[in-house]
Amino acid sequence: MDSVAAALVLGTVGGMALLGLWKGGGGYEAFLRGARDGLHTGVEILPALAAMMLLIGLIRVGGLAEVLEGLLGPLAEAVGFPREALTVLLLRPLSGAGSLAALEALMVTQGPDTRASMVGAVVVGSSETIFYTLTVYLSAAGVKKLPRALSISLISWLAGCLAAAWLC
Amino acid sequence: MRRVWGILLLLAVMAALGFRRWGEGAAAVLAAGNQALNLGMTLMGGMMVWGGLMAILQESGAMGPVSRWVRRLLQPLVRRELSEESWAAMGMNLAANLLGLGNAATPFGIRAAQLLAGQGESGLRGLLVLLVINNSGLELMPSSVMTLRQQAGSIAPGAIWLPTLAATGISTLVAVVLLCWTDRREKRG
Repeated sequence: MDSVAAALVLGTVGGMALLGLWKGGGGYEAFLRGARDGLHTGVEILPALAAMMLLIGLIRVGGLAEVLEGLLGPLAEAVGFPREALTVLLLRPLSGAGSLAALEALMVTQGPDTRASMVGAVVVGSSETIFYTLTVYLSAAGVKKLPRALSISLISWLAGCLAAAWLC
Repeated sequence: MRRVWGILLLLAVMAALGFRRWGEGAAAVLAAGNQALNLGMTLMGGMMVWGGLMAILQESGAMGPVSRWVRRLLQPLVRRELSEESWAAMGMNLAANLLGLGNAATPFGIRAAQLLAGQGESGLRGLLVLLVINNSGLELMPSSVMTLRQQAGSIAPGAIWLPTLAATGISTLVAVVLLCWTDRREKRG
């Protein structure tokens, strides 16, 4: 973690400690209450995480990503997106760890400063694990359906990926 | 969303069967529960600590300043009345995301989602904005990717910084435009 972020984390905690002592009746009771709520929420989202992990695990080892890459390769090259970076692109909305592993593999095979690796790195850095975020937030909130959330997220993500290809 | 899951799962199994990766596929299935638990433990750890700190903020009644800046920023998109507490959670989520503190951002985002879900139609609108902005990947410094590039022996690990910032900006812009455009269509239709 870089020092700016570290300073902000510590500053936040220090600020909360001050606030708790000054106005929140010490802060300890409040902390326990919030932590308990957090723990309960965590338990509630575990089933959704299991569903997600099952899917991601099978996609990663089963070869579905390779099939999609074969199908999407020509299309990607037509719009100027390097075919080699497709694995990174396809895993990114599903799994943060998975896309980082794919980026690492890409940099090892192609070299870290090639165009494909640069595009892959920008794709990972500029986007979010869309399916994971949606799954976790919606299941924690108990919301079954939120129209437009997935479609807008996916389209704007694709726009970011195209931008990555054109900028590198 | 739920149908997407079933279809993808079926396709993934068919691919594993077709490529004769039966052993790997089965192992992935058996490992999934454990991975979910591990990830859940990490999340729960963060949610306990940040949830606790957030409760102090709430108890001391100092939510105002935190909620004000994010409200000013997102009100044009949300255009509904939301509780101060949910604005504050959204603000903390956005700030943690911008700083690249994913482990802190998720607990705040989850808290915000829960608070928003309890506020009827306006809350769902807030949740839509929260998710769309979150998913556009806002981050000022892509430090994990830069570290990875450095470890891979890149001559200039930071060379991706500006393109990344531009790409995330474009994707956020597209998200905002799409949101406003579909709003208009919905109003007309």
